[in-house]
Amino acid sequence: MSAASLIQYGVFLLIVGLLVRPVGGYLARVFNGERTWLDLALCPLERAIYRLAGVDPAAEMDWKRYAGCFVAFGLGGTLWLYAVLRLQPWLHTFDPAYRPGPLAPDLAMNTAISFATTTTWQAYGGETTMSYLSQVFGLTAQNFLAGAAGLAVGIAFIRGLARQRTSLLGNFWVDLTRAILWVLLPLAIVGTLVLVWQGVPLNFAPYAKATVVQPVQFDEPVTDATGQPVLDDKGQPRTKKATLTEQVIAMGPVAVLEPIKNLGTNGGGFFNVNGAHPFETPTPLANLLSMLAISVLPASLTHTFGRMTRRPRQGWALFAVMLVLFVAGLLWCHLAEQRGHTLAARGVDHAVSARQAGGNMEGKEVRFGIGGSVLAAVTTSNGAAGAYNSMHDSYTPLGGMVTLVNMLLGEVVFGGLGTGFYSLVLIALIGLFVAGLMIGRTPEYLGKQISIHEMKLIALYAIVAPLTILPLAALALVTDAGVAGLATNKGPHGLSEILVAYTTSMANNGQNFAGLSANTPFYNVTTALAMMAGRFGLGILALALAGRLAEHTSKPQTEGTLPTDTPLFAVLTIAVIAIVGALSYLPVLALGPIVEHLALR
Amino acid sequence: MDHRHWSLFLVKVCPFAHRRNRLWERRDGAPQAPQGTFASNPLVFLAATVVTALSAGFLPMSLLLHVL
Repeated sequence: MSAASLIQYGVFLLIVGLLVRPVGGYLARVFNGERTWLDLALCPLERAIYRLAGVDPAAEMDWKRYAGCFVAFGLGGTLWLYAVLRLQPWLHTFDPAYRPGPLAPDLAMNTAISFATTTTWQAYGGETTMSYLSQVFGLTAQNFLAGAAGLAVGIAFIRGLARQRTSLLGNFWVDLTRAILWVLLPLAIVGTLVLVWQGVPLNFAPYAKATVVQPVQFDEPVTDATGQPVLDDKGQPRTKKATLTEQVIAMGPVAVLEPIKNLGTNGGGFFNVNGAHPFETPTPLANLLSMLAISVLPASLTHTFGRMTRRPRQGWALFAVMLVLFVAGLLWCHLAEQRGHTLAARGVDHAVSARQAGGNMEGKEVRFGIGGSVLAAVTTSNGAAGAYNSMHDSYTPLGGMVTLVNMLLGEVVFGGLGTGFYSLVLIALIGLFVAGLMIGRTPEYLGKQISIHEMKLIALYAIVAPLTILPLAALALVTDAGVAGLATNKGPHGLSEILVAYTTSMANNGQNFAGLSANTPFYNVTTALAMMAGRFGLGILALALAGRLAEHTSKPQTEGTLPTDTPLFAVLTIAVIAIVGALSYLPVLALGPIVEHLALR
Repeated sequence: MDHRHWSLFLVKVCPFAHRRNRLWERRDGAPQAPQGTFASNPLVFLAATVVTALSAGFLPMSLLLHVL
């Protein structure tokens, strides 16, 4: 392992660890309605928003009403974005030059659901499909709104654990507004300035045209009058020699979208290749800051939880679980990519030498190297962001498997903004139940008894993901429409590509194995179903559990209570995460990346 | 479209096409694009605040709240 990679990983984890306490404390103050240093500027704005929108900030909601608002807000946001994308050609007045047409109905539907659920799975190329107006007022707006809605649900979940003898979890609209005004908007403005400093464009200018230094000859496909490729006698597309002398350089308000893409754990890029584009992530420093933007807020929620429940050690125990799993995934992925040995058998030179740093550099940017790419891949697959800076489809089978497994485990390591936290607590409750069975006592968490009703909700939560991912992947594998997406890879890697598509949708992540041709009605509809199950299905179950737990009384701890703030409980939680994940997905992983790894040796 | 059209406001207020501002010009002859432009164009502070705030979803949110 190179010193540069190690230093990068160490610095990243150190900064995350140092920020958990202050940021977590700040989040607790914001959502408890306590004083913060931004109150002077933001309180009048907040009051004006409530007055305009007709919201009574003092009226709290039970879990059903809170969940109803969460779902209605998500569906409303979907309709808003769908309308923007479909009406794009008629809303072009901010765009001085580039005016793309409307999105096809199935693609617009998929994209709208994708952004309203923070998945931001992109079956389109941003710079060739979206107008500036769609990017800013459609996609960026949805990045703020959906990210804030996820954070609101996470906070409501924490309130459910912290409160006693009440059915109220807070006011969704208040949590949403405070999440945007006090958390996301200030950080996004600072992030925009930092990224501009690093070289990310912020303009509404037409696409630039540059004359290339060295003209390049290439084979250009010949098309007929209808735009269809002309075939030769052998049925192959006919081509003609052409010379490239000019290059179009896409521009736009990139620096506005980038920070919220990461802060809201959305991940959908301005450009087709996402963070690999030099205008999205120009420098290694910009890459590190982007990764911090994904991780710090979800990681800090463990401390927010500790503060709001007045049990800080409980929060640190959950943070320790996250940290151990993150480091394990990081090391595994790094070693797989740095060795790259499976491809060496096919004549690829991966050896470290004076001329190259070695490792599997296919699909990775030289300015990030193995270290920056792996850090981004592991962070983004754990953090529900999907903001990749390298092509995960080109990773070694075992390296790519890490990103897949991180999502299959439910993105419990840092996870989505708000959503990752309740995913981890729900898994921890399964661990508590298993431990309770072993020692013959009813499980308790924070002094609250986990009865049969709560366990039913938790069990349902645990099986929603496999029951969504596996049947949809099977459907894609046995239908012509599904297999048609495997344009570049078949066999085990094709299975991995399909599995990643549904896993990333269900996990609301949005990264992809890009060899899959996913912009077809089949994939647009089926991935959208998985996104909604992952967002609303799991969110509603988490809120239902929070609502029940809020009604319980917290009993004092006795000698017979299993403490949930110890290293032992952290180890138990890690074991349960691994066992539940393996029980659900090991067979399909064996048929995909594992068999691919063995076949390449 | 007329270049004075109201809808081109953002195009004008965000002239951050990596070019220098006349009032705040770097004295050295270093290449200006793209990293060098940050301190050369103070309009970026205005652009970052205005455009990010405009894109923060308040318009769709307030419309949705009225409907819901």
